Amino acid sequence: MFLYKLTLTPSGRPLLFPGEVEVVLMEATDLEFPSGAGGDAANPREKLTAGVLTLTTARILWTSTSAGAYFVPLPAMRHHEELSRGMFRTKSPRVRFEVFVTPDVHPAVQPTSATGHVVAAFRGRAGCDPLVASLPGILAQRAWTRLPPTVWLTSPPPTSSTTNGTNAVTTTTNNSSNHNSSTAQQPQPPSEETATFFRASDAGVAGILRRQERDSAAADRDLSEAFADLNALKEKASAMVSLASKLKAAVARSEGGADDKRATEDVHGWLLSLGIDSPVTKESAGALYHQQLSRQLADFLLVPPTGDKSSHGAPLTAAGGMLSLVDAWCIYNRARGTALVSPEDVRKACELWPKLGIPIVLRTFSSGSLAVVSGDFDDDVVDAKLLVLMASDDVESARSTRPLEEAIRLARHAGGLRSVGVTEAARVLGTSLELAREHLLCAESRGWLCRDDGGSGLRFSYNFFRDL
Amino acid sequence: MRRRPGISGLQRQQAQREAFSDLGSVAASARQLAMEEQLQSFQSQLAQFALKHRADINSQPAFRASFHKMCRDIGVDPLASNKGFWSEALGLGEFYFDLGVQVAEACMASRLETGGLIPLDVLVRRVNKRRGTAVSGEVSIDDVKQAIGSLGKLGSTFKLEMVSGKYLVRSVPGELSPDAAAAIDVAAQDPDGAISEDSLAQRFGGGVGGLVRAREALESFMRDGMAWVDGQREPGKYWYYLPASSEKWSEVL
Repeated sequence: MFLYKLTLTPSGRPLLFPGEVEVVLMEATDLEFPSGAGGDAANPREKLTAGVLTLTTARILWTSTSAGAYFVPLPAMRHHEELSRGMFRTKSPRVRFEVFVTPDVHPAVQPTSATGHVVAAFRGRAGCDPLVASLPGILAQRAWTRLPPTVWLTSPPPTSSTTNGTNAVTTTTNNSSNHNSSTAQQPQPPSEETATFFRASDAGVAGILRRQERDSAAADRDLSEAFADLNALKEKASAMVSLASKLKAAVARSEGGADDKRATEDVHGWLLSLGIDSPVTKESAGALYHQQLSRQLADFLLVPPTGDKSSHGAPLTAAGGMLSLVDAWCIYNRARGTALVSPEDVRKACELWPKLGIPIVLRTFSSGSLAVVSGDFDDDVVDAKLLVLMASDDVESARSTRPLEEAIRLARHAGGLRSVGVTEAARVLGTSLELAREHLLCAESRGWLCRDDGGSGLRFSYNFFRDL
Repeated sequence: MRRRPGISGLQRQQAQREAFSDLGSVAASARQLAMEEQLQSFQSQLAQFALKHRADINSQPAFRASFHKMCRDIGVDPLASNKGFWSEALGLGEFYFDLGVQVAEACMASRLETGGLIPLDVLVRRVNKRRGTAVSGEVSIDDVKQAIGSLGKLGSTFKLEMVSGKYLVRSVPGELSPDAAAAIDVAAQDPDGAISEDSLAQRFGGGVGGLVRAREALESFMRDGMAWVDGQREPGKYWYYLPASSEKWSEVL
């Protein structure tokens, strides 16, 4: 049983489809292929061990650091059952998934009748209960039907191979009689909104007005029904989301808006536009919480949101490589909506970055303030750039990276007569003013620079005392 | 449409066109009105749901995503928790986290104008404006102070500073020198909220020494982007507006 390959984000979290939401994460999960080797079609294995299994609203994902990352689409799921744990319950809990095997095309595009099996063995403390408890509800919601079918096409299907095909056929022969009872593959009837009928009474000007009134009344009715209680809103959620964006567009068109109001709204709007559909929560991630949070926060800070109309880019890049931890916490929480993370948890997540090999650093400055700094700042490289800047006012030459020794030689030769302010340093380092200032102070504490805090503000020169 | 010859035909066509466009604009404005009403009812109901059902919403990942999307589009702050309600249901921690996000956001949004130093009472007003207080209620100065305190785990970037009996909130790294604090005090006492080197030098006892200190203090504000310069208030002389001292400067701009 070969699986689809899953794409990962730079920090090693699964790349979710737009609108796909993580429901529960299970640590220490193995995948077994009872009907012959499976997993990666290029490198089939009997089983894949020690990964993280994630149930989302559209797929079952499996990721590991060593054995790759794969997924099973939920629309291809035919059946699942919890296997017996043996007489003395000594075996790890296992769940067997029966999946439609689709050698060439995506299951959402063209269902096939052949099936294969994947068994997930849960060796974590929680067993398989969290998964078994949430799976039926997720299957019943069929949230994947609301995803655009094109999302599936971004992941290439597992390559078809003859061995796989025979596997699938042998496993299916015994239960081919009840294929038709499967509900997962029924084509969706066209929804009412999309089917618009032309009525004779809609013709002419009066007809247009009448239709407009009818639409408005329908929206009113939808609103009052949807907000009757939480369950009603849940059922009508997707209709309400589209009504919300329609209203927003209509009102935005009519409002010019006062200038100052718009200025603040812009910032607000930008912050809110960086939405995270699937925030990592304690409930979904369990024991993996801080590690997953750390990865998601890093992705959020470094990877520009897809489909972003404004060209702000990723938050950390937009801020010039440094954000104070408070700002990062605030923006990240805004993107998460109502599922807030506490300051403590964000701080713990940041402290995990070096361990996870993520190129962002949590830096403590002498003032006691904390900032997240993108990790491509090497102290030696920064010092070298600053020293070259001390030697000449050639900004272009100072920008290029060179060995520290050469920079020291240049600065020594110039004799410490030139001084450099925060603004020039920021231009050379390509950072914000605050970050440049901190870099200068750090270079001073390492003994390279001398400060000159006089009439023209805080400036730094080469510390020629070290050569005396 | 059949072509009609003659002037009366043209006039009739013209009249018809006008009638259509009148009808069109009436219909459009009726539609606009209906949509605005719907938007308002959507907003208030969404805000109420965010307030009442937060725990339920958070426990259902798929629904939470669509709820968040609605809030985003319709312009409702999903963090509209209300002190009374939360203290009963979940303890106050959650309320202050919500407020912390809103406070940090208000500071970020105003940093371009203020340079990151803003009077506490101005901040509270802005936070309340952003919260949309109809459903969730206003927050007090003490609430905001408490929320700033709860950000302590994120380093000492956010600080409350006391200048002549008034609180300032600092949201960028740095410290206020005594001379800078004096400048804020002098600017606050000016009827327009403006300050010049001369008016600050008087506070420092005048003379060349006072002037040098005043210049240095004002230039340090300029360097940090915490002052606005006005070269037209008085010919040949610069006046400065300090957003950290009062909100009066924004009326002058």
